[in-house]
Amino acid sequence: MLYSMLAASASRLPNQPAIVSLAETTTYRQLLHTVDAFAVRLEEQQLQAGDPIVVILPNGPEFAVAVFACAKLGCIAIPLNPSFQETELEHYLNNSAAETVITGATIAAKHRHTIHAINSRCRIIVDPLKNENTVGSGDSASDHFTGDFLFQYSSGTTGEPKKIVRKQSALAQEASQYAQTLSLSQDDRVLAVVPMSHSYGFGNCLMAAICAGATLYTLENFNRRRVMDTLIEKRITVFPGVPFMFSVLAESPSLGEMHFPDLRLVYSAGAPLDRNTFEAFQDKFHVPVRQHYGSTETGPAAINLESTEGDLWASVGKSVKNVTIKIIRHDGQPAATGEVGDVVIYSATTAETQGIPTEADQQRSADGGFYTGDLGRLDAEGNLFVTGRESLFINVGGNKVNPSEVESILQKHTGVSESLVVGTESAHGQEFVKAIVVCEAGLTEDDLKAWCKGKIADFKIPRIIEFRDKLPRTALGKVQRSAVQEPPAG
Amino acid sequence: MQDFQNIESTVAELIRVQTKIDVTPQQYEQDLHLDSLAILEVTIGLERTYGIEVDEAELDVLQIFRSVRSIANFITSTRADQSR
Repeated sequence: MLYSMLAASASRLPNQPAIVSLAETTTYRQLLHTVDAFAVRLEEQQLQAGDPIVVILPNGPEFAVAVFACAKLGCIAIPLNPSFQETELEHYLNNSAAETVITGATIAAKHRHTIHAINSRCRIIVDPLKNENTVGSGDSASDHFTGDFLFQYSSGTTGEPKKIVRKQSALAQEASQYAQTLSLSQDDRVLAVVPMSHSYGFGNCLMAAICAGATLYTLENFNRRRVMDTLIEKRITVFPGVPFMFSVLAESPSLGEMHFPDLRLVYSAGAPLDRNTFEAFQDKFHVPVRQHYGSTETGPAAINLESTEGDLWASVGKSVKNVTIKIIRHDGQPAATGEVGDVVIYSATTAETQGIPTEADQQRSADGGFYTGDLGRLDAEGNLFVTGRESLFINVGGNKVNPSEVESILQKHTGVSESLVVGTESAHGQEFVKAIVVCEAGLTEDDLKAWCKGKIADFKIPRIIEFRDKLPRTALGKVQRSAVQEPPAG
Repeated sequence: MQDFQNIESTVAELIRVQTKIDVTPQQYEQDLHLDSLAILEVTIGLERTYGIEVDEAELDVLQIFRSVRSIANFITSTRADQSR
């Protein structure tokens, strides 16, 4: 299905650039050929349908090749954030039972020892673009694969990240629905600077662009000047991002006012966009940042493609094609127009979750809708406004951080007796990680940050560590998270 | 022009405002452990305060943004270069 989707675009637009990275341009025909050649390489390693494969690659043609080769063979792809470290690699390799990792030379050199310490049988396959066998079969056997294709991990609202299992058919259908909703076509040039290893970049950038025959311009990380240069020089038409990116671009004094005549759609997801960022970006670059809404479980659910006038700048818009959004009150009844309740998504492509569901999860899934954990309201025109989230997770620039994961790393240090990790806001309204630690005398902030380094991704390492004699607790002895959280700025 | 000590204290204040990390004068040489988001927040502060342009693609940002002292050194050399 996904391989056929790529093959269809390659047949229709063989010479159209499919993926343009800083290093190279890959046409649709070249992309398909490289996928075929890499699939042969995977088969030579005895990989077959149903085998789980971890993919640790930055945005670029190599990521697309790895994922579509997995799709062709019916293997299960598990894309991981390239900034993940020892603890995360151990968790995801063990949880997915993958014994194969596809990655680049730099990441392989850095993590080879760690990966083999986790699982000595694990194969590391480096660089999907460099294949000795340059010819592979072009058959589309993947159309017959109905098994699991993709494992993604969603933060949910509490506890361990949930494993979300996606099928190829659902992802292909989602890509088609989303491309139609955005009117994406071969004339579009989409900027992929949000990580494609995450469901937002995977679905909205890679899959939607390939489905539509658009050209994807990939950047490995967010760099202000590279983003601006790409927007201008490549005449980007669609720019998906996260609020932090738009805030930085709008507020950077070294980036002057500019017009982007080709840029028809800029949209934000991953966290709520604040009004200051919306206004500053529009004043400086003369294009509104629209809001998109979705989840790893359901894929894209809503986007505001209409007016951003008045209060509508804050809306995530109407539901995308073939998706229905309802607001349900806590008594289980549908909310009235404008009334706040649980945001529930109804989509035929909603994923399964694996792991032990909580009682609340089981109750919530009973009516066939997916309870997002967000609170929101619908206006009379069907525009969704997300008003809050019932989650302990910390949203660092669009990356969700589980406080208990960071607490457990801190508590592995022999000098730490207790810790509490919370999110707090910086001057730009961005959340970051703060830790409160009870420890033996002499331990410094520097010691504990150095301890975390290499064990978890940098964005999870507490920016501020505060030392206290004891953690704040309620009369019943429960740790009082709210007592150490600062009120949001502004 | 600010002397080096003043630049260091301005940088420390700017880091406090932008990232909420408190740095005392005794810690000016210590590693700040800034992640990429915090580096961008400090960069915006530096551009605003000193009118300099920071191109993070061309620079060894991890080295420059390592400590208050290394940032102050960077400001001194950049201002000298950009005023030529």
